[in-house]
Amino acid sequence: MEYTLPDQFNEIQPLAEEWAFADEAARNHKRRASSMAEIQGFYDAMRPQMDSAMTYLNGFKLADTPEEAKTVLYLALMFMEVSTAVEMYQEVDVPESFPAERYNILSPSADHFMTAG
Amino acid sequence: MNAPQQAYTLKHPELGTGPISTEPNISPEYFEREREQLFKKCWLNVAHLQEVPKPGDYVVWDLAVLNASVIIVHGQDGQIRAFHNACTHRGNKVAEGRGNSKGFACGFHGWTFNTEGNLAFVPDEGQFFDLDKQCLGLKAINCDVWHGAIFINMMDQPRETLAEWMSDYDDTLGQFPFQEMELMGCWSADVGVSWKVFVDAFQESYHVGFVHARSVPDGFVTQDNPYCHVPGFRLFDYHRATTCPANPKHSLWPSEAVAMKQGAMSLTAGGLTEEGYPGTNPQKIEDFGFDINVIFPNFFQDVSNGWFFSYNFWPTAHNRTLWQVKLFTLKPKTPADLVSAELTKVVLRDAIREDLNTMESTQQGLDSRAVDTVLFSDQELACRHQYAVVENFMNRD
Repeated sequence: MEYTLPDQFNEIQPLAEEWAFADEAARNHKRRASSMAEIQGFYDAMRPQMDSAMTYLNGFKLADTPEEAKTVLYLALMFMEVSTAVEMYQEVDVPESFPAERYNILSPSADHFMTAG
Repeated sequence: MNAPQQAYTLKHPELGTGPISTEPNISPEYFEREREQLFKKCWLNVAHLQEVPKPGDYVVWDLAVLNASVIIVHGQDGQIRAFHNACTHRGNKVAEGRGNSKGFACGFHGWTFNTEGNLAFVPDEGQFFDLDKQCLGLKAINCDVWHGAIFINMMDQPRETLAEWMSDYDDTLGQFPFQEMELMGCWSADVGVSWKVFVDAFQESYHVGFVHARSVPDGFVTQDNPYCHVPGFRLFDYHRATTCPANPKHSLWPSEAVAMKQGAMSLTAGGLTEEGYPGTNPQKIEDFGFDINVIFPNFFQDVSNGWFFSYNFWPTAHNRTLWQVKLFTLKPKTPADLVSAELTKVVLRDAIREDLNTMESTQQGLDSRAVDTVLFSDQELACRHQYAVVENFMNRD
């Protein structure tokens, strides 16, 4: 996969290789496999970039999303994935909850929306 | 809004106010009655049109409660049909999972059926005696679609049409713009709990301030309404609906602020728009969150401004349920819309894991027979209604 981000997102380029995933199941797995410090680090790096990322991602129709924008998208999706860990629970995973390994994530991949005709 | 004390149950004297027996949730015999007298006679939602959007698209469900494997297929002629997943040669399954196909070929001896269910090809046909292929199509199951939701009915002649069965919802849910929505999230779990206990967990909001104390209470619970009182119930012959309030003063988290600037409606801020969506908030309450629409017996379509989610509860035993939730949001146009919808998805997904956490522990308590009745407050009227109408339905002639 090509992980190069557009120049305006140089600051989050180092995150791309480790945190960019098209699938919700992969994002959730990454979240649960990370420490709270790692999650907080990712969140803190992404948060100041989110407004410009959303403006940038609004510039494309889904079917015409270029490769470098897909990586921005995957990182922004990961920001939402970890948002509940940081903003609600202050824990990596949902405390006092049904076991994650028994909770199947079957959601369509982000790539599905960018290829579906 | 904070409801007055005991305002609703007394309007339905037929439901009483007393304790409810736990027997329907712990008895294998009761479940066998439900299988025969309820699930095999009711319209049941099995899929959404968006799961089989194109001709040839199909999905297979093994439904233990019906003792059946069912194929739902979008025919090449455009019609949605349901069939028993059993070859008319010797009974083997002809399809599994989901996909797109011009037909279904049995892996045993190669008998092939088209997407309209007709038997199209029999290898070495000349060896059979009196073979009438016209009569050997896949066995059809009654199937119909209501605003995008695909239902089946196992009776040879259902007592009412799907349109009749759903007519209680024509003025509310039937007005919701389902066609503007797209499937964004889907989750499932196999949970050791009675399907009715499971349903109960999602048709009252008394639990919100407790089960969701760490996640979404600020979204729903307020000083004025600390117990998340619902503003009333719409009880039908079998279906039932209520409205979950939200907190109009909910302060947005950073991620919510990003998502909502993009137009998404968060679960916790579902109703905070000037003009509601058609088909939602029939009581026009100011602190609208979302409507809980229970479609008897085991299907929910909970709607709000710009999103809805559905639950399906499929019992596999008296104390075990295969559960699935699907979240739909406004059709995304740009990649930013996907990010915005992701917030709604993640908040819902994580909050539901909190809900599910109480299920097996509740069932274990019931199975132990430590208690032989349960109590429902006025605010849990929907739960009380469920036990009455399950019994009513099974006693229909």
